[in-house]
Amino acid sequence: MGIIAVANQKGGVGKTTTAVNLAGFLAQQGYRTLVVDLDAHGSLTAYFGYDVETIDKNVYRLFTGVTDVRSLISTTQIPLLDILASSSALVTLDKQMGAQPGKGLVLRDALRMLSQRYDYIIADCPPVLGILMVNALAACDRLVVPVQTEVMALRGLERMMHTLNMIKTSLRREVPTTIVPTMYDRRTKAGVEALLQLRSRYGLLVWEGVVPEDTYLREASKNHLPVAYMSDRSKGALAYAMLTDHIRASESTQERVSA
Amino acid sequence: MNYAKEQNPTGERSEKDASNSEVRDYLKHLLQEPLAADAIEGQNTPAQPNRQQFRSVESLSNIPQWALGPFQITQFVIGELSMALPVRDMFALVDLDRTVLQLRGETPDWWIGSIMIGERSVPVLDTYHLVLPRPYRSANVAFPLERLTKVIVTANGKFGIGVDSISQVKTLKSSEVAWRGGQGRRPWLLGTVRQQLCAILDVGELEKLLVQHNIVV
Repeated sequence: MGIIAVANQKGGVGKTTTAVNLAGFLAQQGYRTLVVDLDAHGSLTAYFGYDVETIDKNVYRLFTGVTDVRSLISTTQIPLLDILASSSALVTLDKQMGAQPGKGLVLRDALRMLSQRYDYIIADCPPVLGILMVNALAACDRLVVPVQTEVMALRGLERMMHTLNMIKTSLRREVPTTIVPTMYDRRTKAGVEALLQLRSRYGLLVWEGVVPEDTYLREASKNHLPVAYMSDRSKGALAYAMLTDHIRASESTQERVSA
Repeated sequence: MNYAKEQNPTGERSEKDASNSEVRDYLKHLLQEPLAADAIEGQNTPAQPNRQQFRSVESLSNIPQWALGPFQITQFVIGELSMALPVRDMFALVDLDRTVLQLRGETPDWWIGSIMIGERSVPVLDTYHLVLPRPYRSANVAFPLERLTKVIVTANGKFGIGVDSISQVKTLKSSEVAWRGGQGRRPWLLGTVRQQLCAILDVGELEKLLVQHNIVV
């Protein structure tokens, strides 16, 4: 089982779109996939037709006593794709839990129970460093950081990478990371410059492709479907299909290295 | 860029340093493995004030081992009462939107029947009826099936406690609870949260009660 966290401390960079579409392609390729929505806004939860205000089976309960994560999982309309939904109550978690010892490992321990049930788990993180992002990073084998190809967004990335370094130090392990340029518009000078800056600064951490601006991605979101199930020939769909292959290939390489 | 070594022009510790150090401490706590956390907590426990040292051995023995460090309870409302369960004794929270199987004949009035969770039949208690003898019950409190909305299934899955609503999850220290430790006429009362007079239920004792009445084996 591979656990992928999709995170960036900046909002609006395409985290949910990336989580949904990676999950969509993995499920379409026959992998049993679970998405976990750790953002109290619940965009991912809403994407699959659930309401964070009312859904009873949600990830918040993991932090308030439910120990069997299997009882909290809901199905989606996509075959092989399930969801551990968000709850609006997640906003209270940091206040409730503070920095209690071990509370950053709740998700990791819960997801271990699912190793026979899913091939991939994809966690969509909130855009803040708090207990939920720490949980996701402690649980994951790989981090995907979507970054809008725009100069201001690169500053946010610097903060995210700094946070990641501190978390890796606390975890005492490496977290393989892929930076994914999103919302790329090659017609604008600003977009091209931002992509070049990104590549010159972060080198091989940056995925070789880009996710372009694509109305099909918005259409897919409106229809509550991963783009793989809407138009697999659109620019956005092709990009996410390539990203999925890249992550699968990196994982195989890592498996071979660690074997 | 190495933030940890960054200094302002006067050589003093910068705000960024301080904030990084706070974040590092925060992460260190959150990411402590449970066993390591227990060990460190034991080492770092400050000496108790003198008043504590004179607590009788009897009262200390009422405190369960797991409550010696900080622990969490889930508070809920049942009837007009506020009660709580230690989070460690909870397995799941399920909606009471399913059929409750009731048995006819002589059964205690605090046992409302059983619900099916998966393939398992789980007896459900109404602790309002359990803890309040008939003369003390309020006429304003509706019948269990009219007010209970959820069932807290206990950690071993043997029974559930019906609740009207969940209030909050709270972290406590043992000193915030008047511990009873199964003494007296109310063996199900583990202790009372001092500030709120909220009863913490003893799941082990409740299970014994169910066994006595042949509700669970």
